[in-house]
Amino acid sequence: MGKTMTKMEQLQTLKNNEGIQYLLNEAYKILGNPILVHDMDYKIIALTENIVTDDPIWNEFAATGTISSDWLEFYKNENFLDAVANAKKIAFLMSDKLKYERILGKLFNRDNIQIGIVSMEGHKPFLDDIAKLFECFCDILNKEIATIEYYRNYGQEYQETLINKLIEGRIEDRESYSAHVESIYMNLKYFLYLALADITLYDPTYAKLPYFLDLFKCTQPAFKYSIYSNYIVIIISSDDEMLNVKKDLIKLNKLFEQNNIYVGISSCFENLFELNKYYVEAVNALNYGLKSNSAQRAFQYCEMNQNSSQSI
Amino acid sequence: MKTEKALDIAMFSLLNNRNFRKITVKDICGEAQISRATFYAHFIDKYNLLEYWLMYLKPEGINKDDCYEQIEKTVNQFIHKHATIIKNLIYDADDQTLDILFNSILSTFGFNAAKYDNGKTNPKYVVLSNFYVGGVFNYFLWQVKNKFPSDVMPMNVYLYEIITKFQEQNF
Repeated sequence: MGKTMTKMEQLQTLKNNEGIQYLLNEAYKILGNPILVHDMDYKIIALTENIVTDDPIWNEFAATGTISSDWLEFYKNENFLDAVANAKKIAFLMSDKLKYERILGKLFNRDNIQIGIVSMEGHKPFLDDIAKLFECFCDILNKEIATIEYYRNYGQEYQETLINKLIEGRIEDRESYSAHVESIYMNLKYFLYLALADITLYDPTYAKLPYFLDLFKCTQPAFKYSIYSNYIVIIISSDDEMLNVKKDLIKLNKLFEQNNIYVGISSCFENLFELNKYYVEAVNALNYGLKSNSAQRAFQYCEMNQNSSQSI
Repeated sequence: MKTEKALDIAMFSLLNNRNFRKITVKDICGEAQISRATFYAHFIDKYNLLEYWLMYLKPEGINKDDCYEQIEKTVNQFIHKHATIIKNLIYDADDQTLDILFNSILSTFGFNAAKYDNGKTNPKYVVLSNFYVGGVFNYFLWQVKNKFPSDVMPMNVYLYEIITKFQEQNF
């Protein structure tokens, strides 16, 4: 008689490139718990098929393709949103008000976007080693998602939209967005600066903005980018509270020089929810620098203040 | 509230070991095991957390009838119970931290004193409160700088006498 495979071994036999739906259905057979994958707007990407349950959240997801604001408010009040944002990979969600206990994982799409994956009891209690098994399944799904171009693009677009929302100060309910904003912090160093690249002198029609956005991303992938109000927004990070333009922007400086691009840089900050303040600083630094007829390409807000006080 | 509680405990733990100036949001998040975005979803920065934290550190409320005596007691208890934390808050503190501390003490002791007159805010007690808290606050600073000397009569006893004189003269 052959040796019986463990649940972990069974999971590891799941093949990639067969699609998310295949993986969810197969994982259900192994773990016994239905699984649902949703994007950052809580819209369903896929869920285990043919599940009949009396769980109201699952049924709402399955019927409407998303989750209502009432349930989101409930998630927030029960501290689930913080639990998810703080989790490295998975978090258990438990409450007397939940019909069934849940386990939630985060999928990282090229360090850009976090996609939620939820499994729940109901059909079967969670196995003792569900945490390890679920982490393993998250890794399998991560690999799958990385092969799908749609989600790669979705991840980038979502992050750019999020940066622009932060610039406009449109995020009032910070708790609901904490997991989203955490995805921007990923792979950034501690101290942050907001830079605005102005391509007006290279292309006054701004048609080349997407081209430069891609070029910057390829040249310096460690930073985060978006296009906002005819500027390329760059979230720069550094280990130092005093930005060293020559050192920290070494890869981008050459592009600025070659393409006649000027850049305004805000003062140092840490809180991305305050991005709107630093956007104004970067605009002011850029405008001040352009008027100063300096040979520099990058103008820092803190230098602008020093120069102003010196001239006074 | 779980997040606030975790941050509260983290702040207490960190302040027992190092100066507030040297504590970063990264340290606080690490200690509380929360993400940076979660921290900033609840607080603007570490100073904002300090304000919140001090609200819970302060002693019990002050009774109307024994206002200044209560202050005298609580100041002494507060200093000795939280000597390390006070030291770490005040030592090498920047203006923003000192400002928060002053206002926290003002709201703890001073605002209650301001309502001393039959529960109504009286401008003369507001002035007195600020004056008193200024004294209390500098007393904190002085104690820290002088490593908490035990052979000195507490400054708030002097302050109590001064305030009583002011009151007698219908300040």
